[in-house]
Amino acid sequence: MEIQVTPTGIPGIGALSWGTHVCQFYEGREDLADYLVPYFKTGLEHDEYCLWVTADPLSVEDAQTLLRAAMPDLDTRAGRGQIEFVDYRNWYLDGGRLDPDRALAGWAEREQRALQRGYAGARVTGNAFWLESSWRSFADYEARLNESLVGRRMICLCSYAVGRCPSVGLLEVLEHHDHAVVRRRGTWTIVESASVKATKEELSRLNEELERRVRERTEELRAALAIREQFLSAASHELKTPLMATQLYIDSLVEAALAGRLSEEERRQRLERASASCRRLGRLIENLFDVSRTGPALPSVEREEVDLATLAREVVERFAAPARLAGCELTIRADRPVIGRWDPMRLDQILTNLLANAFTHARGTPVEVVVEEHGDRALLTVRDAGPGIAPQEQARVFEKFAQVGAGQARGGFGLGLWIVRQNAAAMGGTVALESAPGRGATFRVELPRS
Amino acid sequence: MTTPPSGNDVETRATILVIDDDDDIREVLATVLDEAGFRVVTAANGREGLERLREDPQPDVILLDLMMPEMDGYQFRAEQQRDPALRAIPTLIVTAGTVTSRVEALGAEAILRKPVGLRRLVDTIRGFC
Repeated sequence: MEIQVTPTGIPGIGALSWGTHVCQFYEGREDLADYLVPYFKTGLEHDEYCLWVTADPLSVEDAQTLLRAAMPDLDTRAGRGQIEFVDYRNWYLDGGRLDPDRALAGWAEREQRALQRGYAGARVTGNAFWLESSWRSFADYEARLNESLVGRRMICLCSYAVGRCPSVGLLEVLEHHDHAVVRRRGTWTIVESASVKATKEELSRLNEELERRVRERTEELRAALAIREQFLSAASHELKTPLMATQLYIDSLVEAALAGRLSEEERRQRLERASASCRRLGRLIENLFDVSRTGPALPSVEREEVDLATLAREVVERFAAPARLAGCELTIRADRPVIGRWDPMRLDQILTNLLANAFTHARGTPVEVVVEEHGDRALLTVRDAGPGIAPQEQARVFEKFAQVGAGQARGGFGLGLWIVRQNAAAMGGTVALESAPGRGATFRVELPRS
Repeated sequence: MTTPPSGNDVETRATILVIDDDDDIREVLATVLDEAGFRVVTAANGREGLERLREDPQPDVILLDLMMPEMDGYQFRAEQQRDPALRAIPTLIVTAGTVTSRVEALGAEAILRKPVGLRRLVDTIRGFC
């Protein structure tokens, strides 16, 4: 929200936002003239309607004389109604008694008229020099004025003679203004009301809170950036490795074709290996994009009726060649249909990543896939007979970038098992690891069927 | 090939030591370098690499990966340079990472960035044996 302000012309105050109510304490006539003359001169110059309600020690004539000295075209402006000078008796009093309603209605009416006539706003001043015994009711009037100014395009400066305010009255006056300005012996002092002070304190608290949040967010971003750097470096390494294997196999096939070497069996083997490297590359890219797409949130799930047994058999079939290359005997036990409402793409990714993990870490050992039904839950198990995982490392394997920075990278970003866990969680399931060094590893994915 | 293999006699073939933790890379390099007329021995990390270096016959060229478990390429290179018997063996770094000043400071005869094609690889090796 834009807060509109207008310059007061008073050095001790500066600019004020519209609707502000300021009280001004002065010691003598000179102090009073010292700020009211620049106050109205500035208002007139800024195309505002001005109303100067005068009281001792300045009469209407004194006020006009003082302002005319600073503003030579004052009479022209007064002639067209941009400024009015009114004696306090004709403004605050009715039959010698304070009439708050009349004064309040007067300020409001002047603001309305000023805006209707195209002025930028209304700038007014009143003076309480004449107050003798009616402090209490005048304080009530000031409170009402303070409230009535909210949202108005008007600023109001009330002048109080320092020597003439009783101390209780002084406190009440302060309470009903946004600011108090004291002009004593030529120097300015600003006193803020409790509500302004509270607002400022609140602002300062909010500001601190904001700065704290900015600091926190910056820290988070810095950490995210560091992970990204780490990730990009690992990504570059991991993607180039299978790419190089693919390229070398294909290069060697090209050379062999040129030289007419290689038997059909040799060609078949190399093509199979090049193809396996391409698959590895594809899987890495798939995982990579999966992570960058979902971020820390769980992946989205599109459920449909799926037979997990059929799906698993298909994946296992697809993995026949990679299994042979890894020297793993791959078997599946999925005799009966296991029907549930899952996302087939997510299920495929779970089994693909678990198999890729087994072929990487348990080369040359048998790998078994089992699909079973346990009441309202489906159980997918991938068991290898590889070196196994030490208990203290078992929790870490499911973490994002589990391999990054560990210096143990073996053909992955360390994302595969993290994605398995994310996918299982997205379908309301869990994944558990059972392993011991030298005893192989068993991953169990449990999924609710509906 | 741009030039014929240095010789078909097993005894005269140059020996290449491939040090890389990736099974696929070791396997493909063993296949294609053998076909290009080299004798190939492999090691899955720096420590195994040092063991191979101390066997007979000593390799004529080392292809060295940098990011490896147990003993990485940097540690391997430090060990190699500390040993006067191993220091002179031409070492070609084959890395998938960026070539930083730390990589350059290893003082290898050549730095090849993965993926490197067969011709470039074989030509570079021939330049050193």
